[in-house]
Amino acid sequence: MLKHKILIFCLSFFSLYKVNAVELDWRTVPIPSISYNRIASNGGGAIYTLQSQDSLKFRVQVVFSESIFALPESDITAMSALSDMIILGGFGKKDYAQIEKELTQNGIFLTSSINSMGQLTITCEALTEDFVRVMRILNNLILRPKFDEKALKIWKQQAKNSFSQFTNANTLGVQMQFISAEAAKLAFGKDHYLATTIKRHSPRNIDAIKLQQIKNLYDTIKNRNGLNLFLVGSYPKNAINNVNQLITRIPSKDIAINKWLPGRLTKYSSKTKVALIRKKDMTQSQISLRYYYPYMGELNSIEKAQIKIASEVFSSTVGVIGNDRFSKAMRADSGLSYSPRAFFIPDVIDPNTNVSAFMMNFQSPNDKVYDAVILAQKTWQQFTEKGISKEELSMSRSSVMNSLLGNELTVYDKSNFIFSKILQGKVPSVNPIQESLESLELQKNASSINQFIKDKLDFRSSGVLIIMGNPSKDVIKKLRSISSLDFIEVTDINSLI
Amino acid sequence: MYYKKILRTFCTLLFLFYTNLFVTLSANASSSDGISIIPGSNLKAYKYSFKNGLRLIVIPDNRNTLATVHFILDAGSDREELGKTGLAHFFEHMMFRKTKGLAEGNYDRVLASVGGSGNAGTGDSLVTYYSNFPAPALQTMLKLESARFLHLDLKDPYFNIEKGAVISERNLRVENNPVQRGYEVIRSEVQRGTPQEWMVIGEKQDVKNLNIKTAQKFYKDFYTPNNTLIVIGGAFEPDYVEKLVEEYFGEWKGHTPSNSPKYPNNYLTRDIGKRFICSEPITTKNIQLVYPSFDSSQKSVVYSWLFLAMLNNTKQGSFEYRLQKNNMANQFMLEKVYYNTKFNPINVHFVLSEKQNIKKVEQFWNKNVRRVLNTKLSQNIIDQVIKNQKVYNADIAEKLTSVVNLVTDNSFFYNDPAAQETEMNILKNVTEKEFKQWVQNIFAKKQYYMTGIVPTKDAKSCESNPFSNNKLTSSN
Repeated sequence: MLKHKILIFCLSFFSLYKVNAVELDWRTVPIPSISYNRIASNGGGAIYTLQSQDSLKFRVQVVFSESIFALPESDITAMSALSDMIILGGFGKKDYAQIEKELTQNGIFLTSSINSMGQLTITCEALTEDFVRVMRILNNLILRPKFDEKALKIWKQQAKNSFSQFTNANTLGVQMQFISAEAAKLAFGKDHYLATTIKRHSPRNIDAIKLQQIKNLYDTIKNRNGLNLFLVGSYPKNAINNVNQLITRIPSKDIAINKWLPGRLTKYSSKTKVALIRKKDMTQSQISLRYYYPYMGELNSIEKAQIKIASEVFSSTVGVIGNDRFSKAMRADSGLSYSPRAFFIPDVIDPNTNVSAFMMNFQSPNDKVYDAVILAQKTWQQFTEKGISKEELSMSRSSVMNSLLGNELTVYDKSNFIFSKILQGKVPSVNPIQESLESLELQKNASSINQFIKDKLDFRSSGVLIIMGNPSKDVIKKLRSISSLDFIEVTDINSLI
Repeated sequence: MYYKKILRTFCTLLFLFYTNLFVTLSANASSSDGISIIPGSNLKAYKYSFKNGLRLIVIPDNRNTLATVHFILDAGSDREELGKTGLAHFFEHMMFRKTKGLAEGNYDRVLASVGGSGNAGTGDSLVTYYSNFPAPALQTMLKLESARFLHLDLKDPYFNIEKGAVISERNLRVENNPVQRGYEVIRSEVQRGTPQEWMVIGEKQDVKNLNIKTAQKFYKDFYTPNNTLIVIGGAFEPDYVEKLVEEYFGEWKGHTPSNSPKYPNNYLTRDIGKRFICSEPITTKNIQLVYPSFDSSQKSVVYSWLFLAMLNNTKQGSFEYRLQKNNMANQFMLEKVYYNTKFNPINVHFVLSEKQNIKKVEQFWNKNVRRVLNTKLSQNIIDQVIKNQKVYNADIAEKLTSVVNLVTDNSFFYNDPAAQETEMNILKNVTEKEFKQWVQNIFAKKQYYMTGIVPTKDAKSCESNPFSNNKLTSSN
């Protein structure tokens, strides 16, 4: 017999024109807390573990404390190079070809990257049986990287080729990166960290990187003081000793201090700033309407539940096509946009968290951009002015709560949540699902959510509208006539590269 | 006792149907032992088939409260005809709109009400629908799915409005992406006279011209029980799920003949040695060597992995790394296609920068193919591929949704829910002679044609359809 974890539902049969909210007793569902351990390591490092015997593999993640925000801004591109070169340059007695072979033969997944806090992060995943091999690889990588000229040459060539491919801006993902950089430019200024992401990886900046610069950077970063190591999944009994030995071999120095952070937004405006990125071969435009909130601040648990429900009413994360306000307007009723999506981001300038944003992304045929923009603005305006109905609250509240109970979190998903909070310097909730459910359950009053929408989303914002595509002069002229818009510029995509 | 608690605490709604759920959840377990589906894990699949031809696989898993339902049908774009292209994909969109007797958008509202999410996808040879939701909503979801699979209501204005969304999707995926635009032109040439001549998303004009009558016929012809496989995963007794599926899909009628799309007799050989290269405003060269084949066997897929492992096995590094190190190409990928009804080529894909030379890459490729042809298949290579599969299986086993996805694919394409185990057996029993014969047949005689989308200066524009008079362009 299967051991069932029973949720108790009272479901209404879906009637002819009305689907009722589904009530459930989430309190009868066992939601075990996330059980992780912290072990201090000599010299200021820390080991965090989250074990699961069900898993057939394990993951080790090493995060160095020194971030790009502790370095001069001019070192950011070199930091990207370092994160690739630490593997590409070879380590220990092996060159990259030999390392690649060992990884392939054993199905070991090894990466290095810069995390959202700007820190160098080495990640290795493998079958449990390969723990000893992985530790040997990590020891060599962290303690004996080679950083040779030949590897740097290959890296530069690859980085420039990737940049060239990126500048084609053919896929939605890349187009959104151009849009985000342009939005940051209008909201925060042209020299802002977020506005210069593309420029930082230009061939000129890539060519300027010197091998010695990378070596010096790593010498600065290679510090066990403040280092965090995360061990997750199914690992052997002596694993903690092994990772501890690795940490103690890394030199201990003074802890790095962040000297700068991405700049803050200090102004709001009544008009929405508009930029159009002209890409002549686009047959439809990709559009992003964003409202940045410089004064929203950190939301408490109740407010987080309120924004979750409000966002769900405006643009649903459950369902498929969506009967939410935004999808209904932009897609279901008008057929204008294939994939309209809107969402709230509490911390746009990660790790500087003082700015929140609500973002609406949608598409429009080039000749209908004016109509699409008007429709998106109108849908947003009605939402912020009139708020949500009791029925919408009831439906969204229960569907969000149900979705939390229908989750599929692996030990790796749980560790991602816990460890990201630790890296942000926050104490993670060990039962985030229950915490969210409790906050959501309290939300039974539409008027208090509507007051929240008025106070937070319809108040002191800086609006930005970015259109990427090829609308005609007539369409642009019509856009310029919208009084709530402040049309800043039309830029050809090639001038942004 | 449970009932009283529920009623006392929560039941403010009119219709309750948890009774069946509880009674049946604790009823008899399946008498079958089930099929082991992922080597190294305890997960099992239970197969059922119904009188009307519908097939069902149940994968019990009590690790989470999540349940997942996948439908897969042989109703992809190779069921279409010229002039009605894009119908299969358009139809997939319509499945979310209106069911007879219920309000438009009901599917989405019910799915949202239980906190579920889902989506669908259409390919050349299949259409698939999936949803994930809390397990106790299974009956609700099956009832909901049954309504649309048995009683879809194709009507205006939704039919016409949805055309706008599909055209927007086409713009997003194809027309705004020069590589896809070029690929559409090349595909229409290399697949001429076959059901793959058009893109899955269809010609824009065809989508605009689609009418309700045509869509209704498509529904009647291809949305039938014998053309459908359902795979359900979650904390369920398999027999309970079987009973629910019988209850909601037992009355489903209709019959679809098996699909064997017609291909010209000389299809596999007619383009060997040719180059189909045209340009778009891009800065990279996207080149593909296509080795045409009708073979979709699992053995051919496993052999392609062994071939790739041998290709990568040099002291100087993997094949891709050597391309990069020698500044010949930036990306390389080899794929053995197995998911089409008939056309299942081996595709070898390269991405070059503007200054890199296609001919050099082609020479380098052929030189390395010869090296593999002249090298013995070693036990180390076999062990490596076995290990890589072990890692892949370990990753898949982490999540029920991944497991169900894989079993759906394996059952639909290989008719083998235990295909992961079969792959291991193929690897353990591979013989040098048989493998080498396969490599010889595919690669020895350079039986491939080349397609490419390159920067504007390197070839004629794809837009001008440079292949229309069989005048093929060349590029360095």
